[in-house]
Amino acid sequence: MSAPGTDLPAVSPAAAPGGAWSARALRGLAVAETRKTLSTSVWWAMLIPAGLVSMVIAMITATDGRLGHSQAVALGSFGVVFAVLFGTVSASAEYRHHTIATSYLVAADRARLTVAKMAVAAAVGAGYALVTSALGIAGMLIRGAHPFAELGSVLQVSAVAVVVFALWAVLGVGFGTLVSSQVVAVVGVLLYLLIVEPILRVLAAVADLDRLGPYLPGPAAAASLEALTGEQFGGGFGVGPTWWLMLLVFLGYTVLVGLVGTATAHRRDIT
Amino acid sequence: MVRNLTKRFGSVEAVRDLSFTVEPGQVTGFLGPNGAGKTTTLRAALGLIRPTGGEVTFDGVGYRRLAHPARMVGAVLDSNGFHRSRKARAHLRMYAAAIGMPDQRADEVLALVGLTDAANRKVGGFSLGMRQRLALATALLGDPPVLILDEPGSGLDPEGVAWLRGFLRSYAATGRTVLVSSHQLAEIAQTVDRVVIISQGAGVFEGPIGELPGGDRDEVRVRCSDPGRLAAVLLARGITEIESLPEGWLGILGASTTTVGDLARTVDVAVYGMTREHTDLEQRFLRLTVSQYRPAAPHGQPGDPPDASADPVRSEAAHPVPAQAVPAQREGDR
Repeated sequence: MSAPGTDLPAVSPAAAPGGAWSARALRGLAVAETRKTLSTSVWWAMLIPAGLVSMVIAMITATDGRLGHSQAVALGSFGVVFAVLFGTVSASAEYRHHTIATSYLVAADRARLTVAKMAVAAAVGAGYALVTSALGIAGMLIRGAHPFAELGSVLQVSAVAVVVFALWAVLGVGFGTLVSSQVVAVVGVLLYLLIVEPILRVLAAVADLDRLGPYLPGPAAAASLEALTGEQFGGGFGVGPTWWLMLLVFLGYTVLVGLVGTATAHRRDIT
Repeated sequence: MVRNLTKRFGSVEAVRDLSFTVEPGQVTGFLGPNGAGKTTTLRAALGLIRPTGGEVTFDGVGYRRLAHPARMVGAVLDSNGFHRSRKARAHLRMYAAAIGMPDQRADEVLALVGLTDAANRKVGGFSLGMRQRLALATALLGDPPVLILDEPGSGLDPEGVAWLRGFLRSYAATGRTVLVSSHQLAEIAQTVDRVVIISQGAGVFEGPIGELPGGDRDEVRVRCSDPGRLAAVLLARGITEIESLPEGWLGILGASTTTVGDLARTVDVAVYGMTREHTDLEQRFLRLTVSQYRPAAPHGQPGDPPDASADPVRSEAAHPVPAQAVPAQREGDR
């Protein structure tokens, strides 16, 4: 047999252009993460229920033929659980399918891999927001509502939804990287969002700490949308802080989880 | 290059103060029984686990500090590192992008390992041998000057093993470095130029495979009326490499059948049977890795230690007659 690789130019790793954090190297990893995502089914398997839920809720709530506050919220906030699940699954899948060793071999500085994963997850999350918004509007149109009468406000809510979805997906990557076990991570996310956090909100209310409730991650994300829709359409849920403050709070949570996940992965033994 | 590598998992010391060097242009075998610390060493070399002490460097640089690690070092660690529903070509193009290689490189390495026909099949349907080849293809994406393979032969059929042997030889022949681990010397004996042997996490031998101790002498096996007295007189003659075998047999290195027979007569020991056996590589390898001259210490990897004590070869050799026998130099190598 012929000697392998003799037709290729000799590679001198040390002399290769750009460092590990160069735009070129990061772009390569981002392309790799995009291919990783598109070559498996999770991204559309999560998108379908996210879109359907948004559409159904929009149809249920658009009862009086007029666009109101709750319909606008339906545009954005009900698909986020699928965005965070996508991020969680995409990060923990590397451990579940044992691809993490190879992935860390090609990105020996592990933080780069996590950053690339977050960037792609953010893009996917943003895409989820666009699709769910479009399907939410479609749902309203089917029920005879007139979302285009207040187009500016609808677009503004959708724009914030894009940011919230993207952050949720990034937070999911951080959490999935932190936990690494896919089952534990996914169950953990669902348990927290559906059970733990509602209990915490109730406890906060009972303990006369109502004002703290919205600052939990889930409510912070939702509140940024609710507060905005309240400002735009009236009839809000009585949430105090403005939408952009809540968005910043949620950004803080995302950064925190992302940093803890990245730092944990940096020290983890891949055996 | 491995220098003073130590790794503890909890209370288990998987690798103890291990040092060795791997040279370019050669295939180096990394040998040891199951649980000896081979995989731990290789994963530490590749930055996947953090050493408790010591370091592993490639041309003086640790793996995680290499500017383009996958273009410097290719690694085949296991055959399970694939998403089952991803196609082989998609898997390779993904990592090609990650290390800045053109997409066509994926097809090149598929051809190199003979998987071109399976390029668009999902990895979940691959046989173990095909996954091994795909793992090798992944390692070759960056056309690395250093290739590290952890037990690459497992799962390959004889044809595949022969192919891999030729591949590794020709890879090293282009002046590149190949390090291949195995728990079976026979599997890689024809492939490697040098061997590094570890046992219970510590190095016991490093050098050309022909220099494995004991290779220049045949072993005389003798059954006699009083093995203890025969061993004593042999020791008095400076013949120290003696081991007790089952059913009253003695195994003696460094003496001819004539010498043994004559000596037996001088001390009135009746000889019932005597054979001369060529010590093959495998025996010499096992001699190095058994623990007969050291109390059995629980230094294997988790899950593996029962192997060590259950190995029949080990228990057979676990009845030393005289002290300070065979591996005097093994203490020095450590």
